Amino acid sequence: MDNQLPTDFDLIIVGTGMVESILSAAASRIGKRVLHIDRNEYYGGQWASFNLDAIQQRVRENPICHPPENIAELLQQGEHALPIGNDLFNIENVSFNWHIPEQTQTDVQGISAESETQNLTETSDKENDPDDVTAEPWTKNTLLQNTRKFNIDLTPKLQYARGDLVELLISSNIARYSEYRSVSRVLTWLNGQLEVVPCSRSDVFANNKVSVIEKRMLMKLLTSLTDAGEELKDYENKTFHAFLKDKKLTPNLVHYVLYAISMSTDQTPCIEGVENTKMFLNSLGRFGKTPFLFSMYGSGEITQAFCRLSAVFGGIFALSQPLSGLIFDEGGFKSLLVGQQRIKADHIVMGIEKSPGTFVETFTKDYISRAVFITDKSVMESEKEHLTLLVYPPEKGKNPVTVIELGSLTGTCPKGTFIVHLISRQSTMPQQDFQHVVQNLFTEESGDSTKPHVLYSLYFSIPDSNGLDLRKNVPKNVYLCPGPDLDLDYDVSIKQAKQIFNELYPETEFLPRAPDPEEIVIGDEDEANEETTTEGKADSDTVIDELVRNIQSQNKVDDSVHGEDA
Amino acid sequence: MTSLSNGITREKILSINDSLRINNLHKRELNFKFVIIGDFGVGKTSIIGRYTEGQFSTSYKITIGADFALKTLEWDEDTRVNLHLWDIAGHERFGSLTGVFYRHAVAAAIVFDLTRPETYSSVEKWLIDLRRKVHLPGGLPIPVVILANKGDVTVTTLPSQIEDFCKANNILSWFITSAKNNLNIDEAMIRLTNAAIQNHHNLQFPLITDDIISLTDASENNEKMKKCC
Ligand SMILES: Nc1nc2c(ncn2[C@@H]2O[C@H](COP(=O)(O)OP(=O)(O)O)[C@@H](O)[C@H]2O)c(=O)[nH]1
Ligand SMILES: [Mg+2]
Repeated sequence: MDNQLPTDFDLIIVGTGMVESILSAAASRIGKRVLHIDRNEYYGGQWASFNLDAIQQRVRENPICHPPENIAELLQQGEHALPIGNDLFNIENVSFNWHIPEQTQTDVQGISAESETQNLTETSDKENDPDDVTAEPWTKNTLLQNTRKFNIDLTPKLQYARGDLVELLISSNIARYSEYRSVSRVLTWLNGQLEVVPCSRSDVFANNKVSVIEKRMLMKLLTSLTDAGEELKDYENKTFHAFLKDKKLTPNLVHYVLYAISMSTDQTPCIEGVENTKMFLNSLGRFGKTPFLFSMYGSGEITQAFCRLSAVFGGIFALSQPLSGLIFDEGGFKSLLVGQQRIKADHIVMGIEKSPGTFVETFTKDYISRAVFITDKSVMESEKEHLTLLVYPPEKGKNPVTVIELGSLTGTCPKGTFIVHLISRQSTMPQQDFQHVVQNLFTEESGDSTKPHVLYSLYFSIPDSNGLDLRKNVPKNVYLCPGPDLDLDYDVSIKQAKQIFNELYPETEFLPRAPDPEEIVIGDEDEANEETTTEGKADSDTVIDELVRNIQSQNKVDDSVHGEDA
Repeated sequence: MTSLSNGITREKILSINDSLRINNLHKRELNFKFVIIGDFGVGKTSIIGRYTEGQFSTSYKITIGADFALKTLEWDEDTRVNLHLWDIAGHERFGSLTGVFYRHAVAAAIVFDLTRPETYSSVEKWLIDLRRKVHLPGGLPIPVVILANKGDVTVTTLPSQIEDFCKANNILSWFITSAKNNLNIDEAMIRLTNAAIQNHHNLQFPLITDDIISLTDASENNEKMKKCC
């Protein structure tokens, strides 16, 4: 494990956020020698998913790595060193709150809180018995005992079934590293209550809140939008809202289409609203009932899937490294300092939070407000567990809020709990930005209530660095990657990664398909024949007689299909 | 839950199988993901190559682009086992494995090199990483074997405390192996497969695969995929 790092690379990538991870995979894939390195011991940076224990410790972690005291000895003439990391693009305003007691009365003399242990053999009783979780009311202790069943996203994302990421995952064969669940319903807040947004034709017709005339109107609109062209010219400088109003839709229909289906606000330009609606419609019916997919075990899996591909193609990964600075000269970036070791590369890519402060100090900052709740039931209970997207429209001067509710089937929380993510453009502080939503949908008091009880809440702000010109203040072989964005999906990140990739390696294919295992011949054929030894097989037959030769070539790796969708 | 190292006989498995199989006309396929971990150069890729290709080569390159190798076992008349043997990509060697690498693994082999005793001291580090990042669906630890590889060169370097280490850390078993001479590799894999099959019956995993979508063409149009268990 403790090998010395090689000292010469084509590309060094610092930080394991989304854009960095895509670039890592893309560069390794075309044979570049990539060192992907971080001080953190976990993958994902501001896009990571954590268990319940870890998130409380890790959420604010981004120390600045200063050059060592003997830096002068490590520099050559004309060189200077800068620290790695800045305190301008960190997660801020973090607060945790438990809304349940530490333990139940009967437990008081019993077990104390057990956090994730390093114990190699035992797991708590509760973990061993997955069905024993719903009977007792949750306490802080019982939730923490289940810490490893939580995968809490810093940056939760959904993917359009026909969005750029899904197409890229399929075309590059990265899809094999990840699994998804389909969002099973889209809700909105309309006239003071939660309503199901009709997504598909059958939804539209099953919805009893929508009159027959409205149903026709909606179908007609959705059909006409798929191939709208000419008509939109008149709306070049108008809003999507204006367009929908001109269509003489009823207020309820305008609400569904504007806020929920196209994820727009009252100010969204018409063209953008139409594009979003088209993306929504095109993505319908590909996988599941709504256009959206959620990555099992949390959104952090996606960055890791790209990292795995990078490693499979030779990228060297080194986390928990004692990064200690960046060395520059007139020509730009020269070397990365890890402890006392210099590692050189032609180019360096960094997450914006890893950048030396001097490159980013002039930028104005924007924030995304975030909240994460652990609750005891769904915002809209039903027999079957739902994976819910709730689009909370702008209200009384508040920004629209995206709410994603995940049940235990997503592999992000234990049975009997839900994880609720709230996302909005920050206008004051996260707690205030979400206050109205919390008031309408949740309760923080235990006891009988029709609303879900918030057992635990976490608030924080993530910097949104997506509107910035990140090429402005940096040497030409330095590339900064923006952090998380407000969009529901990853398309912005893919665009950013492609753009940087094209600057680094023009005229080169971006993430071509990776071969499947059966397409790869291990070893070098010619040499292998000379040195191959195939003796010594016989003794194995005594253990299990029916062990049969590897029939790999006839066997597809892909899992077989069982059953059909209900 | 019975302990994993509590040996289950072949006959027992067959009888459990029988009862489960009554209405099952087709040959049952079990997909098991095994991860092969350990320090750089201890022989992981060679072991996988030996087991799946039946060959040993001293000239294995870093297997660029190879994720895992497949080995199909006709386990009994009604069960076929597909082992997906995941190699840590040649360069993932600073202990920075992703959760994605471990995801759904149901057994592991930790390899060290008898010609470089210092690689034995990393076994515990690999075990900690493994235990932290993967469990069976019910939360139980996955079965693990330790492989003392390059046994064709020397066995005098075998650490005397290995037996105690296994007992203390819930390790199923350890083997002196040689990818070169094909020593004990089948045995080790069968030991792991036995444990995986036993867990499969006890836990009925996968527990949460319904409605899980793999982004392959086959899973489009509302067909569901069952994942590797
Ligand atoms: N003598 C001997 N050499 C081996 C054995 N297994 C692997 N090697 C050699 O050890 C080196 C490293 O093996 P490799 O499979 O690439 O190790 P990995 O880094 O763990 O994948 C290669 O030169 C192999 O030929 C073995 O059982 N006996
Ligand atoms: Mg190898």
